[in-house]
Amino acid sequence: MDAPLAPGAFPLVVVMHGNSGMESSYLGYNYLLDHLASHGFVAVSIYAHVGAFIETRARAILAHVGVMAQKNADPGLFHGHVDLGHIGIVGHSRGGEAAVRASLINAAEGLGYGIEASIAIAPTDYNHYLTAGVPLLVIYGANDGDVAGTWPDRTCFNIFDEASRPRSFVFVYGATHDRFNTEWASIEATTELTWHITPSDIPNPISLTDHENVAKGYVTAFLQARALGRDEQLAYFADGLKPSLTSALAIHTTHQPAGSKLVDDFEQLPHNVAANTLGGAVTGTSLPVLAEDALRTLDIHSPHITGGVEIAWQTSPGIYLSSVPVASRDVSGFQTLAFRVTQKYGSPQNAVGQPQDFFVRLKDGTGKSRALRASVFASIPYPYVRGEADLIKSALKSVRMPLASFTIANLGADDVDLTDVASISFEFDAGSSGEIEIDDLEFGD
Amino acid sequence: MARHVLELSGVEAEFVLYPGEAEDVVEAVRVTVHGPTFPQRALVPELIVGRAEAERVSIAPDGRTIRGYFRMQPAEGASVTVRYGNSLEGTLRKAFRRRSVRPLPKGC
Repeated sequence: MDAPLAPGAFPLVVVMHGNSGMESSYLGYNYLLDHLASHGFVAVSIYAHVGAFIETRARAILAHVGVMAQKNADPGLFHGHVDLGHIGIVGHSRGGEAAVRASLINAAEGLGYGIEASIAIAPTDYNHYLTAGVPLLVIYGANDGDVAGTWPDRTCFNIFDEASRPRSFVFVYGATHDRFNTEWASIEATTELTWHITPSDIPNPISLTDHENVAKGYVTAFLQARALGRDEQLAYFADGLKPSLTSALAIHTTHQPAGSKLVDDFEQLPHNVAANTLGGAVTGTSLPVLAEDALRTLDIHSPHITGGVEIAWQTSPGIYLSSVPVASRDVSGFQTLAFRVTQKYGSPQNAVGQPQDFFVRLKDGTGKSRALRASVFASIPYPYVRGEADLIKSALKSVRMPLASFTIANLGADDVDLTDVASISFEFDAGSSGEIEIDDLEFGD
Repeated sequence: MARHVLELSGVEAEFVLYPGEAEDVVEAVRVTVHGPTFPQRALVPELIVGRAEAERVSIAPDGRTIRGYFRMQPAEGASVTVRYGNSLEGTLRKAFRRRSVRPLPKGC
């Protein structure tokens, strides 16, 4: 210990490493522990034996929460300093899946620990959970060479797509698997770099320090939001705010709160591109491709377990319009119009390396409407390109547009009546071309 | 087919006592495959003999052997494969031979 303990009790964070041949894996997050401690958390990293699988790791997490509970009760260094009502679980790789599993065990077995957040860095998903039980954050590198996507269900989008809300995702261009753990980074030349990081990739992964800054920034912000009630920190996930030391990195986030009104989740079976989830009509005008299906069916590069719509446009103005039934038109109680979107990798309609853009129009029942560029609120980047082409991912990210943007006074523009929103449309410029996939068109907070 | 080749150098097998479906003990075959190195990664390795996939696959602490258990004796002449998804895969040149499976020690 190199600093006196401050008075009071502090939220607890337990970190579980993933699997490698190193017995010292648990030491690889000291950078994160120090950072969390400096922000008022009691942070511990725990050991699991080499080869340990998910259940073992999850049980170890909970056992160590129990250890800390005992230390909080007993006389000694931690006596009275551990706030067991506010606990966050962080895990990496198999440990990331175990973080989710631990929160579910805590609830299912009535253990009563105050786990308020699960954070999974580059997680596996062997068990296909349908809920995380608590708010979930997933951090994933686009250049991950382990949970890389070599099988269709071997990406870190699985655990996110299957989880209940609220859920957040941070997709980091250039991030790998091992570099989130400083111990593993020391041996990556014989591990990850011999698997799915090719010679042509070598110049592209971001540095070890960058990985540390990503983990420190986003993990801390998420824990502050979920365990300390600091809602303003959700802006790092919802609004594209970046931790200062990551400002030069390409990071793309998804943020999906609970309680949204889903206009279209594209999950109706059989898929029907002509109707949305609310039962409203969907039409396409001058769109050479308009199809709804499982995204993996529409796009071999999609890493997602979800349905979506694929839209292409070419030279002439195109419009995708989703109608809102009368009974669902009052969205004045929500703050945001949101959707997830990605460029389709490999489409000749998308310019290599260039972002994509289009207008989003809200129209009310009286015909008043306003269209805003999606890029004002979030970029729609070209997919991250890596050496093994089948591991390139058409990865969805959130575009979240404040509904106030459609009502704020603006000379010459209509003010849309948010109590009577009749349609949402995506409008594509003449003279441009593109091919995108969209999921979860919704009103929310 | 996996995109990287896993080098394997040999295999040995023996009958062992193994937990049954109920709370009983049954005879099973433990297959141990040798190689220069079996990496410990997020992906769980698979040990496959013929069409049968081993249970309880584990890598030795030194990373030089991997072993798993078969409730049914694998087929005569079956190929022995270790793979990590479609990332890494190796198959022994020598096939599995039932006569080379060491019996249970007398008294078991």
